[in-house]
Amino acid sequence: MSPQPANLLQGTLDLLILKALVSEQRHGLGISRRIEQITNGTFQVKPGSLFPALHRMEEAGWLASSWGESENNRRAKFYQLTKAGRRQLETEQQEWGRISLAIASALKAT
Amino acid sequence: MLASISKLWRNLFHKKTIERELDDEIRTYVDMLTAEKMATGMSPEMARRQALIDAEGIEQVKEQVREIRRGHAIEGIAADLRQALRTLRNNPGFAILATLMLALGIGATTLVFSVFYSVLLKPLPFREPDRLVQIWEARPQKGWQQASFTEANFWDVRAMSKAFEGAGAFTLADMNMTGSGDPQHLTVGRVSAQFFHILGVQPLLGRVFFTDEDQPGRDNHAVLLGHRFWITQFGASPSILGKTLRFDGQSYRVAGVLPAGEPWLNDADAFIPLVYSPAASRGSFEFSVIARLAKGVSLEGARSDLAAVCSRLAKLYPANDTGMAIKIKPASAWGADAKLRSALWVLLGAVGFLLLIACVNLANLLLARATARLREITIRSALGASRIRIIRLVLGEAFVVGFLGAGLGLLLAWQGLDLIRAANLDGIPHISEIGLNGWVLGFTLVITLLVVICSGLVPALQAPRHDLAAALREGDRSQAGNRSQYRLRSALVTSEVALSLILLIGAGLLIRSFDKLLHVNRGFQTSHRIIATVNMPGSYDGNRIDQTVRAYNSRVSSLPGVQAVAAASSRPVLGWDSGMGIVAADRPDPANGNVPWASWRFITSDYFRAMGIPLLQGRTFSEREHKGAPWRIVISQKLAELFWPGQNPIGRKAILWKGQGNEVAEVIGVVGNIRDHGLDSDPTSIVYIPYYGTGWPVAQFVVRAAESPASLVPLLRSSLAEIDPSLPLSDVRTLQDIVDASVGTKRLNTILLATFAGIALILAMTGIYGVLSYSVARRTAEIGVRIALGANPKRIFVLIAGQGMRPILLGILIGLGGAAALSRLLASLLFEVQPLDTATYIAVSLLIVLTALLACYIPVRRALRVDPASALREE
Repeated sequence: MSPQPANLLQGTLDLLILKALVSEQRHGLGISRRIEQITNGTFQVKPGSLFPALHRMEEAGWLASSWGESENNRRAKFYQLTKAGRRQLETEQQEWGRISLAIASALKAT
Repeated sequence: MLASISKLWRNLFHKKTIERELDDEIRTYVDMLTAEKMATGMSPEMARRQALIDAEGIEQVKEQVREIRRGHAIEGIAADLRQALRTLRNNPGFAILATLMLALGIGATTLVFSVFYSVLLKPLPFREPDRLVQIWEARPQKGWQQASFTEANFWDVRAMSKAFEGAGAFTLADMNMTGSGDPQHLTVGRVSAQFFHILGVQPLLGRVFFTDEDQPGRDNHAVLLGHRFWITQFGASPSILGKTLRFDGQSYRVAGVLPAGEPWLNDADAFIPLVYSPAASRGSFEFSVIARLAKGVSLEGARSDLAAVCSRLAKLYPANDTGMAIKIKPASAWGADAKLRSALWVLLGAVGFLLLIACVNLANLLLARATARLREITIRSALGASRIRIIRLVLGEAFVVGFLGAGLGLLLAWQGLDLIRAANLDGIPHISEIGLNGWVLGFTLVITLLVVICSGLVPALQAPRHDLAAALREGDRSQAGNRSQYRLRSALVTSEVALSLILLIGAGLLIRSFDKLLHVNRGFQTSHRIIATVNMPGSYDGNRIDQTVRAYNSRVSSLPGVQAVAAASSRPVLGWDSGMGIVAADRPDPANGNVPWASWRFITSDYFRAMGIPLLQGRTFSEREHKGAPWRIVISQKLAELFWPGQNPIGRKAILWKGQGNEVAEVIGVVGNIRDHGLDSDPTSIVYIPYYGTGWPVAQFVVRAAESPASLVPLLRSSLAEIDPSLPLSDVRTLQDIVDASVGTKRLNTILLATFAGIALILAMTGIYGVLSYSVARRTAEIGVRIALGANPKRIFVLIAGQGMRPILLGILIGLGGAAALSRLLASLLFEVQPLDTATYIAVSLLIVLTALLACYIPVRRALRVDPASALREE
């Protein structure tokens, strides 16, 4: 189904979750599948890391949650980005850009 | 901010809703995952199973989510404590035992620390005490290392020295207060006017002396009241200010009331100014002198300044001050002396040991409980409880027990403080100030936390390390611990035995020493004897003093039930006295001024009979003999042996006050030695001189009664009133009481250490019993098999007790080594007992072996009674 799943860098999970929620609100499994999809299957998020992260981000005020019906009529908890969450996504994206540039140039150096 | 507070609120107080939502959320996830897998063609069972494996356990995920939640820490701790309380309620035996043990340990430690704090640590109640010093005169060439100041030298040093901001003198006088009810004997402090300014004492009421109030020509008749005197005599009434009191016929106006405080402030009932006189005495050494170092002057600087002053004084007054030196000591020396200091350190060390034993015992109990709960703990960790969570669970119990124990311990300490206050411990400075103040409570809090952490951490760290499957299997069968745990508990027993052995040996040494002290040949008798003071005012001349003493002697001796009565110039066993150089007239003077020193005491004829001092040779004085007319003396045996060993001293001549008065006196009698400087010091050399003709105004009457002397006291008072109604009878005490007070510190030490050692023994035995009954319970099946196969119960007892005794014997060996090393610290507190007293070591070891055997016997006997068949079923 997927190539070798990569280990998640510390802090990367938050970024991926925020990114996964940009387009629409999703439930836990939906977020997990969306992350797989946007990383071309590189990252698989297990519930043991996903749910603690969701609850932490909710407590931090980046996510809001509500209960609703899933696509196959199950009562599920949906998460969506708050304003603070969008701001957080901005900063984390910039941060990530800086880090990947830095790493790339470090690897290029002889 | 508001949002996060409301979150915290929700997390803490709407736990049920939160839990339900969390459960729903995770379940939906797994359901959806299952549905996804079924869509790929898996069977429902297979899909469900695969989904659960992928999710890595519903409960574990939930626990992980809980741990990141806000307020989780608080909630977890609250839950731990609730859980701990619940388990303790379910095991009241464990809870009560553990709490009591800790209460004893913490209570004893708190009690000793409270004494330690008041006596050694509490700062002096004076301003900037590190600049306060006390100075003494000395004449090193004559062998006087430390003497009080003469009045003249005090005024001179105060005027000449540049090292001090100021200096003050203090001496005590006996005065009679008249005009306020019955005549009353008072101890009055005479102090130079600056004295309280130098200490930096603020009066409770009114003022202290004006700094020039000791100058002649000013009104010198102000009096300051001591705190206790103000309360007992005047009911703490503020209206006493400005009133007039009559001391020895002189009027004094109350100018202020002083606070309580040690030293100095509590030493007198009232204080009057010491008035400067250019003709002050240069020969009578009776003033304590304190001084405050000027800013920036060190002790060294003060020393060299004082040396210069001394050489000036020696030139000015060669007759008195040749060879004069001044000794200076910081005020920190005002508290406990070295002996008391080491006694308190020993006590603190002892309760430290006691606390350690209580700690080890608690650890042992918690370990046993952790073992019994192994299954529960294993299941908890299988359900996702983190290692930290489990450690906290076990620590929670230690915490609850620790604080229950601390609370109860504080109550015990509070009671103990009352007992200490009630005991006869006048000799210990600041002992009246002991109490549970902030420092003591803080100390208790700290040791309680240490105890909780130390005793809780061992089992807590041990608990979650087990392999889950193995633990479940083992727990299934016997719910018992493994070998390493048994070894750990044996080690704890060994350390308990070693610690309590050391304590018991220390206590044993002190008890033996105290017993020897109480039964030492003190040289006089204490039963049925009382001492009372009659203080005659300065207006009485020598004749009147003689008449009064003579009349009182004859009056009291005719009272029914009085066997003997006599007057003396000082009380026995005071620890201080006035002395003189003395040599034998018929022997060459000792080389390099090494003159023997003897105390002198003025007595009336019946003194030896009244005190129960045996007359060994010659005779005592008659009632008609007077001091110096001609000079006749009775000496103690020690002096007789020093001067005329193996010869008859009667009729020989001795030179009294060698170098000062050089009176030649004839020896008319020799009496037995008495230990006059305290029971633990060597017998004192004493020269007895007739009382009559001395003009000594403070007579100490010793009365020997046939029966209990207490009933005599009213008669003694009324007899004195018949002779001279203006004289008070004061300080009436039994001789036994005086002797008891002189060993107060030792009594406190001995009683406390013995109590601690007793508690330690009980704690150690509880520990041994606990470990033994646990290991015997584990072997019940084995014992059953042995009995079924025909083993002799006696042999089984020997077998099991033998194994149980192994850690105990090891503990005894270690303890003996420790005691041998540590008992040297006790050496200064022991009297006629060696730190390595074999008898004590053997007796204590035997005591431990016997009590340990008893602790072994009970569980083994229980095991032997078990029916073999049911024992086997237990496996």
